[in-house]
Amino acid sequence: MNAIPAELLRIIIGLVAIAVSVGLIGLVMVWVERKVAGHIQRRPGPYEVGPNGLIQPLCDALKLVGKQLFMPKGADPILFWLAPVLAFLPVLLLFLPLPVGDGLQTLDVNLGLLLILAFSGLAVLSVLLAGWASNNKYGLLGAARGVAQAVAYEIPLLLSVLAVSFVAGSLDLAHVVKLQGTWPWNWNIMTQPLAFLIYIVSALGETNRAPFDLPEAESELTAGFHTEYSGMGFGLFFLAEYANMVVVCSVATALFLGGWHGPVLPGPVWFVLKVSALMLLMVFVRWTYPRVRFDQLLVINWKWLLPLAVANLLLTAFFVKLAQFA
Amino acid sequence: MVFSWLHLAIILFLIGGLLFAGGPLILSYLVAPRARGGDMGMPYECGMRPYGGSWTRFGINYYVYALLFLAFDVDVLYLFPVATVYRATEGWLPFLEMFIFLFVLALAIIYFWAKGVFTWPRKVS
Amino acid sequence: MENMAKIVFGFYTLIILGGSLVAVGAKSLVRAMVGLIATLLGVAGMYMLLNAQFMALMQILIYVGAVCVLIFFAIMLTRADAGGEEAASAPLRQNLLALTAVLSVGGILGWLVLTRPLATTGVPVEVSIEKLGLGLLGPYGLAFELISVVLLVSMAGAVLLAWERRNGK
Repeated sequence: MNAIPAELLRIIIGLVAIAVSVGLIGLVMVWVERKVAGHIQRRPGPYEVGPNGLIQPLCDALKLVGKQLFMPKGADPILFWLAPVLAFLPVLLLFLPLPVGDGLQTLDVNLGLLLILAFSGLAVLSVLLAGWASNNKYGLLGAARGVAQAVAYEIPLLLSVLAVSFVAGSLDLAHVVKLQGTWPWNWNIMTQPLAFLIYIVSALGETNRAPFDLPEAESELTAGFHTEYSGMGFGLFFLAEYANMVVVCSVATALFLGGWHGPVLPGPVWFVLKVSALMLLMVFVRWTYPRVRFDQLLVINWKWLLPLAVANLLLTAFFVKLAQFA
Repeated sequence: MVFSWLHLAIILFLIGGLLFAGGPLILSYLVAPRARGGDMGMPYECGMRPYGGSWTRFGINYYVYALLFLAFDVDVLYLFPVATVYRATEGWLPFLEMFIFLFVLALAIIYFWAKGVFTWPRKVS
Repeated sequence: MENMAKIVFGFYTLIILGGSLVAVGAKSLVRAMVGLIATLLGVAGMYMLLNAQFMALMQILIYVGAVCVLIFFAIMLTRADAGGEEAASAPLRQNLLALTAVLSVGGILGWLVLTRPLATTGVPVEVSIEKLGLGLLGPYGLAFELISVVLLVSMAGAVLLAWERRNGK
């Protein structure tokens, strides 16, 4: 037998590292979200299990495993169980092209950005199948809203990402990061502030986070598309949501916030710090703003984000050419 | 046929995702209780007995939005290859081409706006 | 690696065939759509084997991410469940005609593939995304512009039809 090729080793190490971090991120984020929610609502949040309630998410996870897997009568059994698996299926793959540090990524993918954008589209299918297969009116309503929303917010997202790749001339995340500098004024956010804003708003819409959490609006639709899911079925949707948040924030970091660049501290530390700051921002937004109405949601997207994104892209194309001649 | 490392990585990561999702589900299937009976199988509707089936039909609005999304998505698709080379091109011709392309896109937005497509109907009969 | 490519090719072929069988045979339209999704994913895998990574990713982004959503909303305009009016099995004559159509097209294509000499052999050449971009901005500039016009016309047409109905009622 020959020696194991270096690439194969790299892929397997990357896979294991990513799987472990997704699990850890899930646990940490559950704790952070509950703590932040608690303090914003002037209560302590989880604090009984472990110091400051740190063991709480682990207990939650064990509890979810021990709950009965449940399917309502008249539901479509194959599609009902396919949906949560499909929600999680692409999640690990989305981490594949993310550059955590200089050269610290599983594979240097030439089309990394496209890979993330393409496979994150599978999440829409899982929402749709989950809602439809549940044989539940809330579920179907949640699915319809969720899909209409995810679909609408993907266009401004793509256009804002395109603006950055017009400036950088590449779809390779590591290359985009390399073009940025150490200090904040060398980052893409300085040249593309509007694109960053559009990206963050559409990312909130894409990941179904409040104020755009209409698919699971608990005050009107119980839990939306995952009303009928219990135990691990629900757990998988939940974990996939957090993992998608991390991916979205990491892409924002790489594209706009200089990726691993930063003074003094080593690269990966900066990357993790920036991603955590964005995640915290998303959590704060969730517990601060009220949910938008469905018509408002569509107005924000079609009448604000989309025209702004097109205008931004056009201006970017103009200034790239202008810079060439100046 | 070419089998690149990226291809292998994609397949392995998808299998990894499948195991990561399937593992807890199977574990849960093994250890969780399996109670039956009563109204447990009833779809949840705040405790009331569901009236009628739940597989209803949607309005046409959703279809129109999906169609708009598809068309814009295909539009954006062609911009991805352009984005990679746009910086390296010379002269103002590429900008002109980009301008016309995006202008037609903007025309679409203006037309649908004026047509009232982006206004969610308050009451659909 | 060559052996791996063959195994993967077989795997994708199975996915495509299985998915299309589900798409044609399933009682419930949503299940049929899932079969279609499997087929489309298999085709994306085939593009990867042909060294066309951009095509493969676009296949997933457009077909799996967008076209299937469109199909879903189209299905939701009908009665999609297994007990609905679409679920009754077709009469024998219709099935026979469908089979004839499949066999005639498939037969001719299969016969052509098996008897004609191969026009290309060997390893597919990778066309980089930069080359595609240069083509779109250079020699195929007119096509590039026409794409957006065609899409505008198709969108406008669909909206026009749907809106006439909505306002007419």
